Amino acid sequence: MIKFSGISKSFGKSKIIDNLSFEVKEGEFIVLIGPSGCGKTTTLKMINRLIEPDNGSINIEGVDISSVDTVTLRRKIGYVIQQIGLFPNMTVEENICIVPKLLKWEKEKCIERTKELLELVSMPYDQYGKKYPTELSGGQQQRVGVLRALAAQPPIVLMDEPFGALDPLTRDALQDEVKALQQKLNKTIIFVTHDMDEALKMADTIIFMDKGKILQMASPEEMLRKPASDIIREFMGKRIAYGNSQDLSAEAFMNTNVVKTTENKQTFECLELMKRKKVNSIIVTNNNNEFRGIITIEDLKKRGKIEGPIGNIVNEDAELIHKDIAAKEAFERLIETKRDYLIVVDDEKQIIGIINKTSMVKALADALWGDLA
Amino acid sequence: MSEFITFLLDNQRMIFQSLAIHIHLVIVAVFIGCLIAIPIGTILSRYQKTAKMVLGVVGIIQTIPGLVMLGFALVFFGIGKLPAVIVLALYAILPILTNTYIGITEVDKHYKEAARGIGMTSIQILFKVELPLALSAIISGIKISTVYIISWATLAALIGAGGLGDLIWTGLSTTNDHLIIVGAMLAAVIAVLIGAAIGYIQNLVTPRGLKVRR
Ligand SMILES: Nc1ncnc2c1ncn2[C@@H]1O[C@H](COP(=O)(O)OP(=O)(O)OP(=O)(O)O)[C@@H](O)[C@H]1O
Ligand SMILES: [Mg+2]
Repeated sequence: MIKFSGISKSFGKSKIIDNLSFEVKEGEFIVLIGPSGCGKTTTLKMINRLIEPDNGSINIEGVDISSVDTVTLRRKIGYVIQQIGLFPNMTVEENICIVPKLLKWEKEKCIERTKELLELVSMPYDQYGKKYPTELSGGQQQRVGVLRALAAQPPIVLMDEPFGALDPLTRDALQDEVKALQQKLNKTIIFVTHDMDEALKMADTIIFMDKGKILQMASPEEMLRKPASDIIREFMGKRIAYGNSQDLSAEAFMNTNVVKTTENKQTFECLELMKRKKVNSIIVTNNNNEFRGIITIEDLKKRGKIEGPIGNIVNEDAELIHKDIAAKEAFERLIETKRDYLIVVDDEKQIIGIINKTSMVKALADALWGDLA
Repeated sequence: MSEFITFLLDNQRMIFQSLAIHIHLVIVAVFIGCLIAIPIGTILSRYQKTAKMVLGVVGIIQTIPGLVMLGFALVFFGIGKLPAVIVLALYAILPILTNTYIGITEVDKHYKEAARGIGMTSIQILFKVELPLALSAIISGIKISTVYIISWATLAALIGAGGLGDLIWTGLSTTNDHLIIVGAMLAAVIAVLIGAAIGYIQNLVTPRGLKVRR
């Protein structure tokens, strides 16, 4: 539906948009988000040619928009801006009907359309049609702003922080309304915000921008699970933890404080170590730090005072997992096998940690309260 | 006092005639001033650099004393109403011009951008957004001009244009106090009345939505 190919834009010497390419599908709700000044508004305004790119092309339904007359183009694209966007010298009805009138719709059709639209947001025409913007609440004004953008039935609607100035309750209600309208009318919407909650709530796809570049373009779900950079993680704040723990690997939650010893040690040394570390089992490795087996305090007691290296009596029956397997899977194995711990090894079969019940608690806490660790 | 009233009654025809001529002069001059100032002010709002220059020059012209200008007009156009109207119209221009220019340039740029963004041509933006939003300022300019011109127009009698100035100047040269008082008072009264009338019209043409300022 909308395709950016290699778009760049500089104001003076500073590059504001840097080789931007992405594609928006029909009926998709895209949210552009990122720190202030990252180029969201600039990107949006290039779609209706309020700003012209220096390089690259933008295609809408396969047509390069630089070849379309700006006025014709804009009448096919709804545009909602923050706060003042309604013309104060026009009534609600006149504001909504601007574009249909520019497109030479008949008067009856305009009135009918206004009634129909006002109905959608529960603002009866008889009560509100003839009011001026100053006679409406902020939320009502912004509703009318959205209706004006929808009036001539454009397939694409651009919204630049449309709810930025509203109180949280009104904003929440309008978000629901707009999302419902979009789904009902199957519009393609490009929506700019710097509120991550809003983005997560509204978007089919979030485009995270920084310094004129796309850092990540992903579904809300995916962005939560795998934020592509620290800036995005920061923007997500605590929300990030939810999805995260499901997707992190065993390595993230393993306990690295592992009590191990080498196979050539004697019984007595092992007992000493267990006493000192207050554990009842030790992992035994060969000289290359590779797994040989485990030995428990019972094993040692059974053997008594017999001399010789413990390597001869180790129990090789243990669960080894690779560090990259999903934490969730590791926890399931831990529960299924009813073991005290799983041993985590890396690609070189080196023992790097264990997964035990404490690891699970840590993961659970992370999911509930954010990044405590 | 009764002497003054008899004077008024005796001279009422002359007084009314002067008054009518005066009002006529003012209306024509301000009307011409509008015809020149509003379009130029509108055009200047598109060329802000040129605008500063033009407004500067017009401002300087404005500071030339009215009598000097009337002298020039007398030299070029002779005596009568024509040179008077030309000079008065010139003086009417500045307040209307600056108010039109400022009124349009001070329309919030968000409105202009919204208008552009939804696909209005620049002519449509001018007539549907900028001029309606600047209208109140423009009318204020007209009001200021009119009140000025009503007093400037008393000078027009000096080059034979007639009006309330006739009463005043004749009164001064014949030391007739009554004439001076009548001329001056009438000029003051119509200035107040016409000013109020224009204020009323201004209120009338301003949409409800613009009256309640946020
Ligand atoms: N017309 C312009 N002339 C010069 N610089 C501009 C212009 N428009 C935008 N910029 C600069 O381009 C950068 C990006 O601006 P843009 O409005 O796209 O940011 P944004 O991501 O929408 O930010 P915000 O969240 O604050 O609205 C900013 O640094 C801004 O100062
Ligand atoms: Mg912005």
